[in-house]
Amino acid sequence: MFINLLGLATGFAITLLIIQYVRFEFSYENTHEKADRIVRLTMDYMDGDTVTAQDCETNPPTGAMALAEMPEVENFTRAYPIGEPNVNIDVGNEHFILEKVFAVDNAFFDMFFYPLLYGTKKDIFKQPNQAVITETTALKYFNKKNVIGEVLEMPLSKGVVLLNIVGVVADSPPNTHLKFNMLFSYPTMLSDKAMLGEYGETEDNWNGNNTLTYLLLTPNTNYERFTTSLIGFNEHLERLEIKKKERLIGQKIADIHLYSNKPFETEPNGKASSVFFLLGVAFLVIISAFVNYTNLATSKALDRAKEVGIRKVVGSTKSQLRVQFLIESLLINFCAGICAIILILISKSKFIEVSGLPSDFSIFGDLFFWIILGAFILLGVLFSGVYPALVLSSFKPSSVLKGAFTHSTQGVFLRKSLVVFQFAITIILLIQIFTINKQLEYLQNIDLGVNTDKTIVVSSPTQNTERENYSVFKQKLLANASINSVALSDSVPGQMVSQMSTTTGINLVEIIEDHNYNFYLTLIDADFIPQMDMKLVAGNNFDETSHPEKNEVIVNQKAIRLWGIPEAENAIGKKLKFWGNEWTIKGVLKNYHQESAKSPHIPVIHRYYDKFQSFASIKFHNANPKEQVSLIEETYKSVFPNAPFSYFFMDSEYDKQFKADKQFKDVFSVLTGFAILIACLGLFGLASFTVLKRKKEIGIRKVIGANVLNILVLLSKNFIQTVVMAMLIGVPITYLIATKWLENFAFRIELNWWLFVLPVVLIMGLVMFSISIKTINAAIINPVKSLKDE
Amino acid sequence: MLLEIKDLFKWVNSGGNRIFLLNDIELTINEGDFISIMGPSGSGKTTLLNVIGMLDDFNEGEYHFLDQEVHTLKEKYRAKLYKDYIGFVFQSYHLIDELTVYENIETPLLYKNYKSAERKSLVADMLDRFNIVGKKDLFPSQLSGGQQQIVGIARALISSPKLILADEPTGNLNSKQGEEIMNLFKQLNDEGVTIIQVTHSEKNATYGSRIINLLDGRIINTV
Repeated sequence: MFINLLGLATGFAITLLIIQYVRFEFSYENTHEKADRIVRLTMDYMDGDTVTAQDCETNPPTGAMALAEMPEVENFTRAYPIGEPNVNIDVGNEHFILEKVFAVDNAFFDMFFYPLLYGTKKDIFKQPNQAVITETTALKYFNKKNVIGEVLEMPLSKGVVLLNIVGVVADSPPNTHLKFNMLFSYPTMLSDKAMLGEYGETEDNWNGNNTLTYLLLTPNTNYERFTTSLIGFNEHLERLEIKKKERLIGQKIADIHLYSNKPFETEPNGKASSVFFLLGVAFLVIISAFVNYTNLATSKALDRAKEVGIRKVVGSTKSQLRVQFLIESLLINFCAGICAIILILISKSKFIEVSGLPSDFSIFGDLFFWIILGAFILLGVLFSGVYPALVLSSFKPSSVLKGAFTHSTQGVFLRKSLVVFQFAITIILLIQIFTINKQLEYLQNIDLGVNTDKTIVVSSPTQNTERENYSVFKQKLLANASINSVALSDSVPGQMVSQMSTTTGINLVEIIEDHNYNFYLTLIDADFIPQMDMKLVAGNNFDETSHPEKNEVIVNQKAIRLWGIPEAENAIGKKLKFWGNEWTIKGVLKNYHQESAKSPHIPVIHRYYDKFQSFASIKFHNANPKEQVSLIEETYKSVFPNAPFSYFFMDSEYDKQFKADKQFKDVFSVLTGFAILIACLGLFGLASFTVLKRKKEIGIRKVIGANVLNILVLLSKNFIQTVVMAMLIGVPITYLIATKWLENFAFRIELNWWLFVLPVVLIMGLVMFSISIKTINAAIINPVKSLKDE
Repeated sequence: MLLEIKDLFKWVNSGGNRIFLLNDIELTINEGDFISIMGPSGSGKTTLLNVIGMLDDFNEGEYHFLDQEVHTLKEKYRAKLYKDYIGFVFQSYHLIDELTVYENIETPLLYKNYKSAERKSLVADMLDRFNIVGKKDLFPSQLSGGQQQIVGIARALISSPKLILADEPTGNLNSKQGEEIMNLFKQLNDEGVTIIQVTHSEKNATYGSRIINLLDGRIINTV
């Protein structure tokens, strides 16, 4: 009974948790009333008919143009991400660092549902230098919520942007792709001097695409009509010679979280396939739990056959018996429901942590949760109460009291196939876990082509006057014996490529092949390549003679391949043209992983610079960088007294790229663990049933000469067959799934035989263990006892 | 002499009282005997049969089977002893439902590691001997009670035991079938097999050479 309850409760709990998780993943953007009418425009870079690159960000005039040209569009807003990943904000004499800041148009508040707690929406953001901040930001900066009229300063390299707070909104809900801490008016981008100095954005800039564009469709537009219209819009842009090699693509915002994974996403998105996969597994888990419960309940019921017989003899009718069994079943299912709630209470915080749900995620406050739980209990009664009730109530009392039951072999077949099914699932899950584990391990241990160990990265000060003092900073640092090197760059390996700038269609002056590929550009100084242990396969690193005006670049192997240069040596000295200049290839680097080994190598062009504009990486000889932060901070503060000190460890940037995968693996592991537990409970149930059913046979066999071992083999044979069957079904399926999953990765492991054998052996061991508890007992019992009932 | 039992006691303790299931049993059985054990319900007939068959143990006394002292033997050797020399026949036949007649008869040989060819010929002999060749592929449920009991006897005989223990072998059969089975026992006995049967029937008891009457676990007389 206890096992029964435990199995059922576990099944309930795990399925309920997964359903809540899935519901959350599918709830993205549902706080915005107009979500079904909002479309994000993204860009595909084309080379003929093939897409060479994608980008979530578009050109600033795109939205207004779409509004003018397409009748389906009612309004638009841009959301220009500022200072990715963060900006500096000064309030009085305090320095803060703020993430997730966007410049948006006036229509933002009409399109997205963000009621203002303070301030008014009328004419909001039509003027430059207006800002809206969230409650949390307000409390952090001013210790109060109503901060209308307060002023924020955003120091940039060419001056300070002043922002007047005109509104306070509630924090972004956890289920939106566009989370922000501060918004400011888009006109600021176009008219504030300091802003223009930093970003140089204009209203007709068709060259740089750095803003997200959202369109609001008219109320009765169906999405298909919009898509057709968008094709016309693309053709229109092509006719105007504005966009020749790019194509705009629409995405419903509700689809972004689960279906979009393009460069420059505002946050790492989820994956619909993973979510559906988990849901499928949860569904199988609950089915397994029901199957087991039915199996166990029926075998328990056979144990009770005598009770039934006696009840019948003393006059109980069939329907009375059925009601009795159904009530018992209802009680057990109800208890299981309560146990499930307790289990959820216990595991809730852990589950939220593992699954990456928002920390204040409410499970019990959701009516849907209770409806599902109720449905489970009713289904449980139906599945598990009805069958035993029918079987038992129709027993003939005379034969029952004699100890002989009729067993339909059909029932046994059904039972067995259900257990085979369960084990096939278990084997599939376990092999997947092994594969996922192995692949992630492989990715994290792959040779990245760069050495990010023992490196602290610090951000540059915002004011140019302070930036000039970089050489002092560098000298002071290098005076410490523990520091190996200090280098400059505007992005560091491990960061998302979205933090690098991209340019399409960079080609050789002497064009070998004219393509529209997307290239990533980054700035480095002469110390960066040696510091990162990057390997030059041809040419030379930048040196003392290098100068930004010399227009020299170091590219990687991937880049020269795109230009059709087979040998790295041949690339040296070749000229590139972009940005109206010619650039000489000075060196060719071996490919290295910019994001993580999950993505393929990208073509990178390194330009030379010697200004402290973004990052300085400080590498230590042997010291643990975590213990050296204060040393660096002191030095930083002494050289740049007006700048906030912000830093990160370079290798942790790589680890961040694996967060989603680890989450998926963890949720998946937990689920698999439960699936295995439930399957074993099911097997245990089947074993008890079998042993009970074959009690007499075991007795006979012992009398005619079988020993304990013979009996164990006899009883286990069937179960081993079950597992072998499950294996035959499971292994090919899981092979397909694993192969498909691995295709997501540019660098992947080979599917090894042991990845399949080990789970099977493991399952086999578990099976032997769970059945031997029952069978050993049955095998050692004195046959006189089991044959007595004559 | 096939077996000899001396001063044998078997008891259970119930609520501080010792209840004797077998009380001071003295018994000698020679090869070729055909013994009938009789007595009212609860007199210990089946218990005595189980003790003789080494399926059940006893608390006190001596039991010699052939040259072995059963009371000092370890479980393992005891099991070997009864596997080699004793065959059992039951009132409700105790055939294995999932196995055919052929397989039922063959089973004891499997546990004694006979080779396949040997098993084939032994089972064929047995089928032949009891005229059930035509039924060898049937399942127990497809046979009449009498036929099932014949299969039960064939199974008991397959490993050529010296002793057959039969617990009310005709108890579930009608009189005609019962007579058939008793004649079969008689015939086997004539061929030299020692038989001990438990029976309620005076008539069946007369097939034997000796009748042991039990009451409350005690032998009250031997006829």
